[in-house]
Amino acid sequence: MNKSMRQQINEYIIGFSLCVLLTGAAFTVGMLYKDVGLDGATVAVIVLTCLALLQFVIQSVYFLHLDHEIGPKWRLASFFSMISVLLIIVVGSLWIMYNLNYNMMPEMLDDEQTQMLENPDEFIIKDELINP
Amino acid sequence: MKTSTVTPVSARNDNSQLGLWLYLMTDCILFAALFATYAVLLVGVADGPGPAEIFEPWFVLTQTGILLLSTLFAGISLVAASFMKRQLTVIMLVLTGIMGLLFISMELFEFQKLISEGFTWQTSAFLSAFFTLVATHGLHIFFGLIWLGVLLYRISKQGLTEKTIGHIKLFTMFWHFLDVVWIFIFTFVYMMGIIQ
Repeated sequence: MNKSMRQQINEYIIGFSLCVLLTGAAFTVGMLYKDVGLDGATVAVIVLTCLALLQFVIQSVYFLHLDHEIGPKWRLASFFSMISVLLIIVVGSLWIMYNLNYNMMPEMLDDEQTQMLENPDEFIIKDELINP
Repeated sequence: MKTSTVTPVSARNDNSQLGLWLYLMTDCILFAALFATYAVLLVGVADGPGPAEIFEPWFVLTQTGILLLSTLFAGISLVAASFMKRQLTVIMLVLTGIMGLLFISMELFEFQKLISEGFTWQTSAFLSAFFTLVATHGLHIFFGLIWLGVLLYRISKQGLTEKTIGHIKLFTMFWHFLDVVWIFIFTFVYMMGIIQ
């Protein structure tokens, strides 16, 4: 806290400049890979994710001052428990839903199931067969 | 001999800062749920448009720049307040508010444009998730602006006291948090959206 006002403002300006650079970089990557399709742009997705995480760290340090907390580190502790819940929600949802979609793909079906999909009429149990 | 049982303002400020921080952490979890929903429903475009067709990269970049500037002004206002520079504090807070208003106006303009083209939150699962996620962030900005208005009123009435400085600290925490959420909206919604 014994930094001068000028120094403290400069720290904010440094943080801001870094964020502008990272946003610009993310934007450039986005524009370069525009309309490529996410499947063909794995590198771009990884780079974008890294840039976002880096900017997240920079803002946490320069703006939210998560790095110098005085006394017991309650904020840091709750921050990490939040991250763990966040990961469970996001990774868990994507994992489950991806598996669900994967198991619904046509190539996963066996022959009988494919036939059922193609000619559903033949497989519908008619009422008159059960109750003649 | 009398002992005071009144908690000093600085200790109360510390408590409210931790309280706000805990609220922000739970808010992160809210946004995590919305992001997860968005990621799952991204492919559910029905007959509506996909992300690449409706996002305008330069428009979003401008929005991002404006929000970043506003978070910078908010940060400077806190520094100015801790050095009792009342005029600079107020100027910076007003600038923060102007940038916030600009940001939210641009967002409303984007929504209005989409809706006028017939792409509403009822069009597809993707658009439902998109509107919910982005508008939730916008709603936070909106309430932040109301908070900022109240804060400026209190500063004009009470000046920079330990109490009002504490409030500025709380407000800037909230405002920086909203910018942090926006990084992820910018990256995962808009930038990955235009790639797809």
